[in-house]
Amino acid sequence: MDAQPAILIQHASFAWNKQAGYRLAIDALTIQQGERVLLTGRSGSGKSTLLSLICGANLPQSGQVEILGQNLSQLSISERDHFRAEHIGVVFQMFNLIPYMSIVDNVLLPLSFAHERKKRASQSGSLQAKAEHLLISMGLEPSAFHTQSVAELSVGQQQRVALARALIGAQQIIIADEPTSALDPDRQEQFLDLMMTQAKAEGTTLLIASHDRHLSSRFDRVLDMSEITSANAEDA
Amino acid sequence: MIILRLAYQSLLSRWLTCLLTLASIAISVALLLGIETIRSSTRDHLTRTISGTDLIIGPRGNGLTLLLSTVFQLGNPENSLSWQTYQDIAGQPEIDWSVPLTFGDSHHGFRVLGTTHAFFEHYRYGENQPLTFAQGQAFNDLFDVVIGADIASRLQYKLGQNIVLSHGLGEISFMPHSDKPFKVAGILRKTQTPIDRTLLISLNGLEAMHIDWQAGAAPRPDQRVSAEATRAMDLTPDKLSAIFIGLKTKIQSLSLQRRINDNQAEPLTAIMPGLALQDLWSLMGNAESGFQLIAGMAIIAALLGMVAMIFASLNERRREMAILRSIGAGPAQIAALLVVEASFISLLGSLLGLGLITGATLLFNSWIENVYGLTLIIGWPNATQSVELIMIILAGSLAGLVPAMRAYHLSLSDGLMIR
Repeated sequence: MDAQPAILIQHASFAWNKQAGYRLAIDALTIQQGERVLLTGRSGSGKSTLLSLICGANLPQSGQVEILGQNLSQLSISERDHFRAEHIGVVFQMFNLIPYMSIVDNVLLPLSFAHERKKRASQSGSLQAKAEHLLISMGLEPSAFHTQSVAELSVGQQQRVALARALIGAQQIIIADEPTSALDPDRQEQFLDLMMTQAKAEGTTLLIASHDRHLSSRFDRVLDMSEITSANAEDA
Repeated sequence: MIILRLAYQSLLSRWLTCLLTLASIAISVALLLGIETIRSSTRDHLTRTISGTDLIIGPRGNGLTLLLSTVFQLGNPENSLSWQTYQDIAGQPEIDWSVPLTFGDSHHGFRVLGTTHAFFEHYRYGENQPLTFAQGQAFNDLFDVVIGADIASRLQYKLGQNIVLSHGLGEISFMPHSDKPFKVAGILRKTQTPIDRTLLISLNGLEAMHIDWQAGAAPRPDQRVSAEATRAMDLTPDKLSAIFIGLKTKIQSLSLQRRINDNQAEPLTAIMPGLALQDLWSLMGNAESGFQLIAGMAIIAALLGMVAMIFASLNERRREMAILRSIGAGPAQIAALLVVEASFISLLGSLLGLGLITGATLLFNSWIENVYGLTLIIGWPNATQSVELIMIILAGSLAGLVPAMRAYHLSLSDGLMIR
């Protein structure tokens, strides 16, 4: 395994609005490759903001965010978009899918923005077959892949399609923001199992943000926002 | 490529709003192209009506009225000029040929033109094309009539058929010249000019028809002169409506025109058809510009409607944009998506408009030809129309930049946060 940490944050601070409001400050955070980490904290504690820094959607105003050894501040905006496309899979709380595309097309969509990822995905056969294989391993019915519209899927099924999309092309890092909170408790367990199994099989780094600490037992590590943010973070 | 596919599928998923936007663009494009079709067809139609005639001479009056009544057979010739004047003018040394014309009668709404053989010899249309006969020949007998192609086809007339002309120019006449029927001696080939809707008889025949009429009123029964009896009479008319003139050298037109306009014996007007046609054209051109302005406004309104549609969709698509951002699409690609959507709608709308106007032209061409005598030009868009189409598509794409810039900023500020 590569010695580079998957995620390395040092002295990073970020504010959506420089004049007033919330400011996120993180002294140091390291997540190794293949680690499965739960990020908890009450709502408003900055989980989503941290995730958007890691995804490279926003840059810290000071300090640095390194992903797989790459300092995101050294990349231009389009390079960051491209870097994300190649290395990171993202799953949101809900409504992850493009409503006007088929299930399989939704899974394949990120490959159109990432050349290397597309190559990786097509190593073992056709892309179509790869997408279907992933969907089947998520427990979805193959008959629905092409005929059923995305909107007809249940929330749980949509989340599984989104996970398949995040995983395709063997992404090194999966970032998920409250991926289970729209599901009922049974489904939560199921979906989490699925994520864990897939992550373990591929050696994927998993960073999941959730306000729900009950999930913590399955993870290698639990990070609470209050532990990783600096003491002076919230007074600004 | 993926942007094109996304744009296409996204539009398809909103097909109803897209269809309405498409329709409004298509209709306004059809309007603009249609006006241009009518403009170029009219211009073509106007300029090919008469050629080779150097001067048209009529009684003192408005030059445009003279042009309209003699060449386009529109309006009533109010005055006339005397036979003596015609003789004087025809005798001028510069003159190569002259054709006398008299209007005043009709047949089922088609005008009757009294003239001489010189008309068939000297009248030219289009690019100096002479009149030719589809069947038969020029009038030889006093009661022979030559009919235009449209009349033959519309009224199903054949050679040798007897027809009755009517007094006056109305479509429905209450004063038929039933006592002196004319025989169809010739049918002209189609010219795409008003000649197609004209009946030509000899001046003498026209005179014979009216020989027993008194001051525009039908003769009393006891004063009637039979058709056969007129053959023995002097049928030289004393009045004419107008004269077509050909000169030996074109350079003389201007001086002769001035001389005729200053004629002392009888007040006259002489016009040069080419210049008069240009005047007529510029007169109509003003109206055309007005129509074009309106059509241009309609297009601006349609494109604004499209921008409004895309703008309205932005808020509900912020989630879609965040998803696209999360899988690696940049703000520029998301902006490009919207520009592509706008370009696609404008392109499709323009093509639809082109199809609409082509279809309408094909469908209504014969009707328009029947009613207005105007043959529409059918075919690929002409230079003006091509420029118009390209401008509309470009304008549509440019208009797409407005919501695209908004989307660019939204997706930058939203990042991957779904709102």
